[in-house]
Amino acid sequence: MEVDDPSLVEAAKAGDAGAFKALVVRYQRKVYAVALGIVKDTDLAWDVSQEAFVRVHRHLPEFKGESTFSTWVYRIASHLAIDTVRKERRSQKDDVDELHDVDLGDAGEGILSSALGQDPRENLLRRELAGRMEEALATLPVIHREILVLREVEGLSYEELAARLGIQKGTVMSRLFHARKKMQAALADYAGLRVEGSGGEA
Amino acid sequence: MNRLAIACLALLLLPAPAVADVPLRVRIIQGSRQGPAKLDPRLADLKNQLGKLAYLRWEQLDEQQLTMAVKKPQFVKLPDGNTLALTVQEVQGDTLTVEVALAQRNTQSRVTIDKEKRIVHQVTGEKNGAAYFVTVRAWP
Amino acid sequence: MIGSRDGELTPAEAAGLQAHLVGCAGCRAFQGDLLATEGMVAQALERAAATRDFAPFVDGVMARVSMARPPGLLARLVHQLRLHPRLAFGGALLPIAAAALALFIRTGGGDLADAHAHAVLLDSEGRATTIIQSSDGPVLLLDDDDDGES
Repeated sequence: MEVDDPSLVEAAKAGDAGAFKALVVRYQRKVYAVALGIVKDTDLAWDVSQEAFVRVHRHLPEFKGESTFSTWVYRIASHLAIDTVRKERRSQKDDVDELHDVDLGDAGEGILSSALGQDPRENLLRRELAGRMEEALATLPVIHREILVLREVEGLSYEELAARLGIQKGTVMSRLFHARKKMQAALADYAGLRVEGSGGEA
Repeated sequence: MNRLAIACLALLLLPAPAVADVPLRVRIIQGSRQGPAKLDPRLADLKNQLGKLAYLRWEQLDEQQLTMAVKKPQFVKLPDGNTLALTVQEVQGDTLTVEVALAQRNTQSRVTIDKEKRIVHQVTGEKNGAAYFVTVRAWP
Repeated sequence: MIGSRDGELTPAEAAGLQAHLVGCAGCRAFQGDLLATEGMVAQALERAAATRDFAPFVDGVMARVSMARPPGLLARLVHQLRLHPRLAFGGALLPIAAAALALFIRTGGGDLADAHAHAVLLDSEGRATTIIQSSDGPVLLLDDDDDGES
């Protein structure tokens, strides 16, 4: 029977290295996924993920269970990922602190649902589109990548996002809207080509 | 007493080989996010390492050639008034371990590098989009 | 508001959104796209994580944890032995030295995950440090703040 997080946390706090390792193994892939979504680079995501667990280990005595352990770990990982992006050249093109006003007017609304709805090879297209998601995500500024990853991978609600990011709920909704618009634009080119190729128009 | 024990005793009586002093090239540099992008020509050898960071402009502020005795710290003044302590902790062939200690941040880093490599270590927090770094290279 | 989950919008917000969607084809299409691609971002990142070999991950974490900790008595003793080879060759200390040396290498002398990485020991309280590896040597960054439960 799998040991629950609170029990492993208590054991790890008491110095049980095996318990800490079990927590690492339990959350390593998801932490990596969160980090990857934000820093984009696989090797950097690996470093950030490992470093996140080092921070977890360091601050374990202070963890009082006010949030779930998983929420706490992901928060540390996302903070560290953002911090790393600020310093790392690999994300130089990203504007960390400002929202670019890009022309979202022609983001091809509906092209994705149309393409997925009309294409007789829908499953194939869906799989291909899913494969493009990571690429599309990487084209976004980090401020949008972050909120999308926290929303989609961590599953945070608007309220939780507001608390995590220190912004108002309205800003959360606005930022998510812009992030999704940009994703849509990034994917629409690909979906549009596929739709044209099959003879359809979005 | 067997031969091995005699040999060990003999070795105990031998003086340990002295480790030669290590010359270090130490530079204090500043990275800034304020453009335009520019790399001080004196820092061309650090292009690969500095290119990994988000700072656009890099300038060399100070350079010193230190002769380091093993385990004896030397102090380098930083432009913000603080001091960093450099210590060569260990030398093994072409590899050495350098400790960079920042008292004001209660941070010590021990880095083991080969003769051809350089350490780039941030030494101050970022202020107004700029931060100071130290670079260390042994046997320059 | 488009893409909200149950309970995230106030009744007023939900009503406002519904009213807007009635008259805005673009927003309805956008909502359609979101529904069509729901979950794909998470799937893409989780698939990337699933395809990576995580076998060495936890050992890498424990190595970093060990390096961040001040060396224990045994490791300090071994370090002294390495610096003073005369002591290391003392016959009575040989087996202890060999075991302790192995422990030192395992806990403090190794590098981080990558084979080409340089051995970096971190002994820091307070502010943490991030290491970026490069072929010319390591780059160590000071973090702006440390994380705790808040």
